Amino acid sequence: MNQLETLLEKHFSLSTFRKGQKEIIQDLLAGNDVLGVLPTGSGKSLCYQLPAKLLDGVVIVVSPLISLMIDQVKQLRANGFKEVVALNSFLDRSMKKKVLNNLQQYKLIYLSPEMLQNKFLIERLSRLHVSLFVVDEAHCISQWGHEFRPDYLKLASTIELLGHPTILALSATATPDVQQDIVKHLHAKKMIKHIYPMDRDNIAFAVEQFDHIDDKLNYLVDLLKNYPVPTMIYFSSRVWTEKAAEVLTSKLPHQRTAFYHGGMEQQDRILIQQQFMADQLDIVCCTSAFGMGIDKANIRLVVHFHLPTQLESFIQELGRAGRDGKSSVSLVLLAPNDDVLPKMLIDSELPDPSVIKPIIHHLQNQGQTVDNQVEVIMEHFNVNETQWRFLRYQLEKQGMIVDNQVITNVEKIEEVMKMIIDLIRRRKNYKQEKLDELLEWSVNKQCRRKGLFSSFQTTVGQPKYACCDVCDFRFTDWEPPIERKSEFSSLNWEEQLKQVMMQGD
Amino acid sequence: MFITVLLDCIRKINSERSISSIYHLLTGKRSAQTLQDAHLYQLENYFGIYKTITRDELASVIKQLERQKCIESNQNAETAQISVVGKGLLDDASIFLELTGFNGMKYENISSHLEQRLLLLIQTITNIEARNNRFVAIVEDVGTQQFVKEIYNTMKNRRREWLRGLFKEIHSFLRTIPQNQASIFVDRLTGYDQFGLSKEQLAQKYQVSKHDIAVTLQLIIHKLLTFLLNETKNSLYLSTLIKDYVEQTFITNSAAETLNLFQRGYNLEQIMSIRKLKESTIHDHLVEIAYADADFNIEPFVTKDSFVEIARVIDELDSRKLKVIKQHLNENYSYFQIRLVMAAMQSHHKRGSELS
Ligand SMILES: Nc1ncnc2c1ncn2[C@@H]1O[C@H](COP(=O)(O)OP(=O)(O)O)[C@@H](O)[C@H]1O
Ligand SMILES: [Zn+2]
Repeated sequence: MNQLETLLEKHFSLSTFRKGQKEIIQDLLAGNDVLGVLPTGSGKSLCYQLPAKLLDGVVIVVSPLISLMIDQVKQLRANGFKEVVALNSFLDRSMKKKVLNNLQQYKLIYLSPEMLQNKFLIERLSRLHVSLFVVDEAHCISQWGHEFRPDYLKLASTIELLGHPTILALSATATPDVQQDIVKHLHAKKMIKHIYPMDRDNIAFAVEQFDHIDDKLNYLVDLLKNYPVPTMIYFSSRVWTEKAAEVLTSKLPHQRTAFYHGGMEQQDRILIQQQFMADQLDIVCCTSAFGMGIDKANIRLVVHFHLPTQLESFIQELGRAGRDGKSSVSLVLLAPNDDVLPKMLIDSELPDPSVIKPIIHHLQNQGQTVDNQVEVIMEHFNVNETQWRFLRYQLEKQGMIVDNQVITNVEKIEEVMKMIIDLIRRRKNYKQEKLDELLEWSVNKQCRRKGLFSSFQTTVGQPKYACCDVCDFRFTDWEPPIERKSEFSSLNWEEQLKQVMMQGD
Repeated sequence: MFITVLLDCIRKINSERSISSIYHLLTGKRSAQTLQDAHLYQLENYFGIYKTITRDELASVIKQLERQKCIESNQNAETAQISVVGKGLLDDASIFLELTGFNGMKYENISSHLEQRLLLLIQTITNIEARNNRFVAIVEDVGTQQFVKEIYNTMKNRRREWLRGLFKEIHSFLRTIPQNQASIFVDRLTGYDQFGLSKEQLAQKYQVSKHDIAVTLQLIIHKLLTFLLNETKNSLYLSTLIKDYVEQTFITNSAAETLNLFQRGYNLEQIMSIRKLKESTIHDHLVEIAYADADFNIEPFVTKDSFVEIARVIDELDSRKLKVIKQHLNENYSYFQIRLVMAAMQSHHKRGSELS
């Protein structure tokens, strides 16, 4: 057995590397910067977790998905990797202090992007020997990416402050343009690219058209009656997840259905997620909040009851199907006016141009720090957090906000306003195009697999089972493995208590 | 269940406080006003029993009660009054008896700890007993994890014994409460390879609202606490989960500071100048203290005779509207004095019923 494999076995109890992992780790250990583009679920995290065990010093991971980061830390701890910590704004103050004073004891430190702003933290980190700096979800650095994060643009200077450690940038959804952006913004010209195909050969694609949105539910009921397989159904609103779960539960009494969305209490979210992982649930009706950190091998069917706002998210979500390599399906349900919700979502991501001037005036009149006014502004001008983050970043970039204070140069205001309004228009257009791309894909009568993946890779592989409904796939031919479910429990509370608490008679 | 709690609150408050005071009560807001209201309207048992409810959720349940004609609210829906229909719902004696199981003011600071610790402890012992050291904790709170870890370390070689002991104690407790509550409690538990049900799932299974489940779970935990405090000797295993529990005296920090000065012999003016606070604020503190402590001596502010007179009018009027009471006393007393008497009456009354 090769030496790296021995170490993999030793530290993670895994016997073989998955595609790409070994190559990336070898490059990193040799001190090369790496850009890794691998599909979701391919095991990207291992590419820095193993080096964290092997390298002297500390590995820093910047990740925007806080829930995912917390999940990973939990998972690592559960598996015996204890020298790991996640620093984010949710950590309470005393904990944060305790962690900051003991940074040297960790081998792996996760940071949320806003923590990069924390000068004290960066100063502390710069005293450590940072062996590897990981940028997770690296596409967020690209202004044209679907999840642009202004904080990510500070990464290059952070990396410099930390004495230029080796860089690993990871993403599951980076088109060639975005890849270029990543290399540019990280100032990492010699980055070695490891790009792996996004397409998944065990997933077949299908799209169904309906005249009315209620027909979607009826169709699903019939389909799931015939295929009682582990299923995720994506919706773009919380209300819909609840409504659909109710209908499915009453129409499919032999399958266990639940809903999941970001409005639920944390503990209930954990319970639903773990029930699904443990095959205690068959169907989850969810928003995009579900799935980050979901690593269930036998999901056979991912349904999009509503489409997300771009191909990249869609690919990420359907990619949760069939991690075990067995036959799985991605199904999209379409009805008239399906584009209304995603359009609203896009609109809500950017501020209305008409509020910009009043906001600047407000800040000037108040003569206070910008931080002090955030809540007032959000409330008074009806801007949400995403919109404010965008606006503030732009105002800082244009020199309108300096050191937390608005400047009072009248001519400049007009100029900057024009710029920002123009930018908003372009961004909206861009997002609209991204949405159109996905909508077009969904109605196009060409091979769906090729349509989805051709912008990410030059060739699309041969499917292992069926391809898509345009080429060869029919549900009637689908033969997914169907696992025997445990029976519904009908124990009374005393029997059930005995069972849970392992008190056999 | 939740609706009866709300109706009980609305009946007792009787339009004298806003709906949002009920929100503060249920979510356990630690403000002088909320604590005082809880005492004043004898709603101590509901203090902090539903910390996760949002204003919007409460508003929509209130609307629903209005539609069902259980309550009538004033024009801008700030206050509400119970209707005949609503009273009818509360008249059912068995429902009313259930509500007495709540003891929010006394348990508010320990109940969620007990619940979370118990859930995590059972998950931990059963998983390790099943040789599964790699499980995802269903409780994320670091403090709870720490607590359970400490307990676990003291007993890890006696896991069987502990499982058996916990089982027996939980079993005998559950036999003291209604069947469907016992069943909800057990459905919530997470063991090895079986995760507990979420609140939404419980609501669906038992055909009640999510709010009903939330307060029912609290009710069960309050009953469990009462059980443990009464039967400590017969519940040695479960009692370790509340070993750090000390009964809280419910006054705000600021009032406690005032009390401290008062006990050291300073008078009102001196306390005002030392603490740089307005007279009305010190008054608030004193009223708060009188509610919390039946032994607090109010004679420096209200003589015995005055006390008797004010108390008689309060009883006669059966109202808590200060203005009305003051008028009936021919404006002879200040608001402060009246509030103080109300507080003293209430805390005496409460102690009386606890002793009986
Ligand atoms: N070499 C491997 N062998 C087996 N399982 C692996 C391997 N590498 C990663 N995994 C598992 O695959 C799952 C997905 O990994 P993760 O890093 O979360 O994927 P990604 O970040 O690419 O979506 C995890 O449960 C991880 O433990
Ligand atoms: Zn095809």
